[in-house]
Amino acid sequence: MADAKERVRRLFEEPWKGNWDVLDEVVAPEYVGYDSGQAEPLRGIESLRGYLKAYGDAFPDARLTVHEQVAEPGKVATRWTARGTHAGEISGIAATGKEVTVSGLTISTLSGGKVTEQWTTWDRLGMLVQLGAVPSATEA
Amino acid sequence: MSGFFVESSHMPCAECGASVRATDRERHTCDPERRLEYRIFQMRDEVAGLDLSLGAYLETPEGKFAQWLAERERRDAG
Repeated sequence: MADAKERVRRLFEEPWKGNWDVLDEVVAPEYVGYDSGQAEPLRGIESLRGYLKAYGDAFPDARLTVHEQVAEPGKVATRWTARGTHAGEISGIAATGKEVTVSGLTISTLSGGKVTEQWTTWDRLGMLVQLGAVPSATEA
Repeated sequence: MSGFFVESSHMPCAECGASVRATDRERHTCDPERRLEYRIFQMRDEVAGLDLSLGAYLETPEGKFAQWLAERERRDAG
C-alpha cells in the first residue's frame, strides 16, 4: 500500500513540476476520472492530460501538494491543495494575476499498479471566489 | 432581497495578488517585488499600448529627431 500511495502522490505532484510522462507511467489506458464539477467523466490518459494541461496553461506556476493519504488494498484517498497564479484564461475568466489556493479530496482506484479510476471533489467555487467571479463575504 | 456571499479559506491580497489564508490576513505583509509585478500585470494592456504609441511616435519627424539628438548626447557624454 505504501507503493500505491507513492504512485498516486507522484500522479498528483509531478505533472506540475513538468513531468507529464508520469501519466503514462501511473495511469491505466482504461482510466475514468469523475469530478463533481464536471458533467462528463474524463476517459483515458489523454483526456486526463488535456484536462490537467488546461489548468496548467491558466496557472503556469501551479504546484499541487499532497497532505495526507489513507489506503486500503486497491484504493488510495488523498487530501491535497493546489496553488498557482492565474495567468491564462480559465472558465471564461481572463487572466487576473491573482494567486489562488484550493483544496480537494480524491479517491483513486488502482489495479496492477496503475490508477484506473478517480473520484474527485475540489473547491471550484473557492477558485471562482478568489478570482473575483463570485462575490465573497470579505468583499461585502 | 438577501445577498449570496461565499467565504473562501484563502483570498488573494488586493495589493499584491498573493494568496493569503483568511486567518493570516491581519499579519500579511506584501513582498515589494510581488506587489510591483502584480501592478504591472494589471496594467499590461496600458503597457502594450505604450509600446505601440512609442513606436509610432519614433517614426514621426519629431520622434526621429529626438532619437538623433539622444544618440548625439550619448556620444558626447561617452
